[in-house]
Amino acid sequence: MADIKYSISDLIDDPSKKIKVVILQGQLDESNVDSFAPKIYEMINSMEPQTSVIFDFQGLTYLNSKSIGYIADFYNQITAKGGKIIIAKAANNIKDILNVVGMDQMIPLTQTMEEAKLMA
Amino acid sequence: MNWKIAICTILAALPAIIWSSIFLRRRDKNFKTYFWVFFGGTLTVLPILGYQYVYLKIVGNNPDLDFVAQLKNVVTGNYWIVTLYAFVGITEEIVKFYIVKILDQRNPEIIQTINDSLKMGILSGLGFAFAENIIYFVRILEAMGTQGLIAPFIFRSIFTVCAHLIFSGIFAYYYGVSKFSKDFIDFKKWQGERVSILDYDNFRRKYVTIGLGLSMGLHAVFNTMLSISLPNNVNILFVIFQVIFMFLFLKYLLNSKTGNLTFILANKFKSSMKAEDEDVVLELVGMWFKQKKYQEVYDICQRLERRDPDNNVVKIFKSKSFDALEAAKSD
Repeated sequence: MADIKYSISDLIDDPSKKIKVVILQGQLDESNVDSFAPKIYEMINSMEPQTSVIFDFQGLTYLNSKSIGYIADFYNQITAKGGKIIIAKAANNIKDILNVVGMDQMIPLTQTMEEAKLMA
Repeated sequence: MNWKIAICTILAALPAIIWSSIFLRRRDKNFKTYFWVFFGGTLTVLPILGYQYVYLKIVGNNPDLDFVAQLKNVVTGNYWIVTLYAFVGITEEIVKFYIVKILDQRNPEIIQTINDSLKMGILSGLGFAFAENIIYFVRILEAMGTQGLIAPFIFRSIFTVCAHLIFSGIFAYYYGVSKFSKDFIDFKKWQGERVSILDYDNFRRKYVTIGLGLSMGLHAVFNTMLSISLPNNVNILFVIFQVIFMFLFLKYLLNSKTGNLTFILANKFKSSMKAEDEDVVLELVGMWFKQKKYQEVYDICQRLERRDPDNNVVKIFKSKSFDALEAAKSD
């Protein structure tokens, strides 16, 4: 079973924005993605409307196809609540996959956390 | 005698030209190839003539060896006619099939799409029908004169020629699918189906068998219906509807995006994506295809094709999703 560590926190730098940050470390694959995804759904359900979510992918080395499917679904649910979703600091191979899949046309990919905060 | 053959050859050529212009409008392969396949098709009448020749040669000298007469004692009446015509139809399909197979084995680069194969089958069938028509027309002209030739000429030109090219078109379509078995198996694999090494060969055999079985079966039914007589010409009506239905089916196969997609036989361009990353994308494409998210699959395949232009599986996903989107539009 591949290892995935995650943390969810509120960003309180800018009181005018409601932002949640999900930091991921490890690999998202068949062995763990189905147990990881419900935590995010739980977060989405409990967060206030117009809350944006930044996924920090710096520590993520691999994501499988199912994970992309989940990200697309997170996007739908977050935008339905008036929020935004941003992926920050993704490795080149992950950016490459998201680009071919066309995810970058829906979800902004940023190099830094600062850029992501500005977009949120 | 010679002028009769000349006239009958011209008459037989007319439907061949008209039908070929209907099915082979786009000249995507050179005329020389078309000509040789057509010519090969004309030679497929030889086994049937060969049967007759050998039979007459054997039985003519030794009436005791008339195995046909002995067989007729066992299979009698209509059953004999059905057996005979079914046997002739099946033999013709096998020979026409070998024309396409031999052409492909010698020049694999000619069949790069399923429709290339289908068109070669059509030409092989047209060649056969052309040669068979000459023989029939000469026999009818000699027996019944010019007046007697009009009705058979019209019926054979429209229905018999069309039926022949459809029979061989159908087996050639399935032969085309079998030729690209590896890509079609991979297409299934990416949708999450379990695939073993044996599946590649099984798939190939299965599709050749389906194609040949379908064409032989349809041909046998066609011949049988023409050989019997039913009240109110029901058998003729059946044949007419059979040909119309098969014609529409063949047109559908020819127009489908999947049929037209070009398979790359040798990879010229390397993918600009890492293999493991491309696998993730293909896995997603397979998953979404299964979930009928055809627009997403089509869009991803378009982008992936730019990165990996020689990937046949991507082409299959793209064309299948295109066909599904088109079908949804027309519903």
